[in-house]
Amino acid sequence: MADIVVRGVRLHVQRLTPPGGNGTHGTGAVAFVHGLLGNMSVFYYTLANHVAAAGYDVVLYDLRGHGMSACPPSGYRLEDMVADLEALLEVVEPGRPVHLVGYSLGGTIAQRLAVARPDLVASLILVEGLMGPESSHSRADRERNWMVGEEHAATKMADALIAMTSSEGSRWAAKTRRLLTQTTFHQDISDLRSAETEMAPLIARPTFVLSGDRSDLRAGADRTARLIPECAVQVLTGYDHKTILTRGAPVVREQVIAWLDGFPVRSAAGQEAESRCHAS
Amino acid sequence: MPADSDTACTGEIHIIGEIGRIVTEVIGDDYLMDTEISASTSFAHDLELESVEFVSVASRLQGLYGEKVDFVPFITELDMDDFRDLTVGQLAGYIGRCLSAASREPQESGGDG
Repeated sequence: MADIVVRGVRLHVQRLTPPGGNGTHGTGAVAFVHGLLGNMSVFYYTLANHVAAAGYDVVLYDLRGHGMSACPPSGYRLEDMVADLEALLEVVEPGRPVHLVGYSLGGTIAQRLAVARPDLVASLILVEGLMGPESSHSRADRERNWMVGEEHAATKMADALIAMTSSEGSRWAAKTRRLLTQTTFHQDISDLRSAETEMAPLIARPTFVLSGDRSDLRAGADRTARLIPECAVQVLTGYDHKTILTRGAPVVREQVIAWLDGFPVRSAAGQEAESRCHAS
Repeated sequence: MPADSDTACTGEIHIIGEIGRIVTEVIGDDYLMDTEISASTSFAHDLELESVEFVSVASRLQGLYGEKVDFVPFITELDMDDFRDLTVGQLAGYIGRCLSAASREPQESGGDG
């Protein structure tokens, strides 16, 4: 699998299947949603293949404008990215709810989909994926200032990202610059409001929150997690927002696979799990 | 794929050629004008392949070789630092070993090549 067109946009999609063919233990595939200015590789090397090796079907995709997906001139609001995911899941896993793993902004997208379309979602796994009611403001303000607060800020951001990722090669830098300067991305994202305080009580699916104790989002995430009706929280010691998926990957995958293994096997395709093995 | 392609594919040189062809598909000729792909060529340093582009290369190789080559165990043994040093020869060697192992097993089903 490589490219799937949804809502008129070509998305780069990859599926991983367990060795020996179809697996998933009957509990639903696992779909990964990456964060702002990232791509599927944040999961591919350290988490997604391990989840596949543990027996689960895996779906990875690049958000529009990110990774190897197409970069349309507009449509980068949170609502657009949620609608993309909804449309994608209806194509790749029709009638079969998936476990959604969201990192950072991907967590926000996953939460929104769980609220809007709970029939598509078996559970939520939010890896540094809760912004929190307070830290969301500081984070949004920081991103707003960085992206659009000053003249040519988008270009400065692209320059900064190019410098930061010089070892990744120039194609990524060129694409990032295009996304930031030739689309509505920075305007749309600067208007992003996670609205987690309002969304969290509406999440009607089991949710697993993984946070780093050194993350600047942690305090807000803890408060938001308490608003989610069925939520388990695991704080991983020694990691911040970024290192949780690099140095922290072995711990994260152990936790994620244990969470997935706690779900009962569905008796028939398309039937939602009726009971849960995890205590909230 | 032709029926006798498996025998040819077990040769590492042939596999390196296939990897080079697929890398060209993914990133385009323009980026590879002066780069000759050999066993010692590094994906990240020499080809400047991005981490997400390697995902696409691996997927296309999976499509080419089908069930005979399982990339999941290969990737789970690799972390991002390993990826930065990964060479075409290392990947070709893994593919070759998988194909050799598959050729020794009873033919239950063909790849989806």
